[in-house]
Amino acid sequence: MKRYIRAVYAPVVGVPWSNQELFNAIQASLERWLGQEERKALLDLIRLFLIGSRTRYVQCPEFLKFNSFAHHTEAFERAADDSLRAIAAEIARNGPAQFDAVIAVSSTGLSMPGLADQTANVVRDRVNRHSLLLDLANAGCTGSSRALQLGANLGSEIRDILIVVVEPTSTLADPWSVERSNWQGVCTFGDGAAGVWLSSEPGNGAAHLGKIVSWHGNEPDLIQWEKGSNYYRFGLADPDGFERSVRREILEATAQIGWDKKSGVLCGIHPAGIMLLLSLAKKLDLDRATLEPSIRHFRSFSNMSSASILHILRELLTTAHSGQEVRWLTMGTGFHVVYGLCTKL
Amino acid sequence: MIQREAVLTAMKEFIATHFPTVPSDHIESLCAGDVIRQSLELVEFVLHLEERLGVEVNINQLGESLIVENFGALADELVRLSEEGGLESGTPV
Repeated sequence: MKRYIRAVYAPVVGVPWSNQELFNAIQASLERWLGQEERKALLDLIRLFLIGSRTRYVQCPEFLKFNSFAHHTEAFERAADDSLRAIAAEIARNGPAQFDAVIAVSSTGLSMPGLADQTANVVRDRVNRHSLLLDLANAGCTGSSRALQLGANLGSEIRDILIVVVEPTSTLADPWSVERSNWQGVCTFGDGAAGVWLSSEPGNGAAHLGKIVSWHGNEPDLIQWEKGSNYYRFGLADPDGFERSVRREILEATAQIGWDKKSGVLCGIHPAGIMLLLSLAKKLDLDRATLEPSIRHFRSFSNMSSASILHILRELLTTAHSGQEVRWLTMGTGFHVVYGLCTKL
Repeated sequence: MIQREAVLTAMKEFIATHFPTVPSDHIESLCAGDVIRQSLELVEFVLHLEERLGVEVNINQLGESLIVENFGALADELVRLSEEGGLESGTPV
């Protein structure tokens, strides 16, 4: 059956921190407990991760002081509530009378009741009592794309679907770790939230949802949660070989997902990092202008996990003209790649 | 195995194109981090080296050398990595 993207919700949550502000905060944190020699080496690495001008939004400004499991989970719960309310405010301006399903996405924490149930309470007047409520957890940066893939395949009795994405990545930071991958995560990610109204009916400003193709690679441990000082933290199985492995996986994925070169399309690519963005652009033969929305997003928001692609998609759909194709490509833990496209009505 | 001169030539090409006010004749003593200040430029620099040298450069392996060392030392590091088999031939994407 046909599905339409009726709205993409892209609230900005948290406060902006520049690269310099983040570096200063990390330096102050490390000075409290790490010896000078180790600290210098780690800060040199962090300086590389934070080169140039980039911002991220932080919902938990105290994340470098987390010192217990409870600190992390309480921060996640607060951030999730803020995010859901921010999405609800956008739904109030543009949403259906009732959603028949809520799919909630997060790869940065867990809670019970789950996020879909919490959403049903936050937007109580818009969620059907008989709605399907489902949490889609731990899918990483492809989480929102997987939710779209799921929504596209739900039965016809489910007319209006709400996808909410809650990614307070700062809650996964381990301020007591010297592991490179932990700090690579801290420096790469930002906190974000987003949502999508998917419907079986078209409407003003809608886009017809086309194919969504997913591909699962051979590197299940490439990106993972690791056991941190007192909580989960972002980890890479092989930090030195990470870029090489990701590029190899992406190379194979692009040969499998049916990405064909076509002029006049708008493209959004998950901003995993500048290296991957530019490498992928070369592979897919995308010019700089086409890549610019994704680069601009990364500079303003960093990598908000699966919330990022929806923010980029919102911008693309706003600028797309009638009949124009909009494509997106996401990649992440698994190693999983999702390619989707839609056409502005 | 890549040659030091080839690495320096590739670096000079990039600097001449992207930072025309920087004297590219004497880049060996220039600190890379003083010239390349944006992550986009850094990645474009690495991709340029990959294309010119026909190898895959692992940013993570070079690490902080990319910003704290001078271009001469960076060239030495790339040559050393290629001698140790740390640079795969062929640009991956």
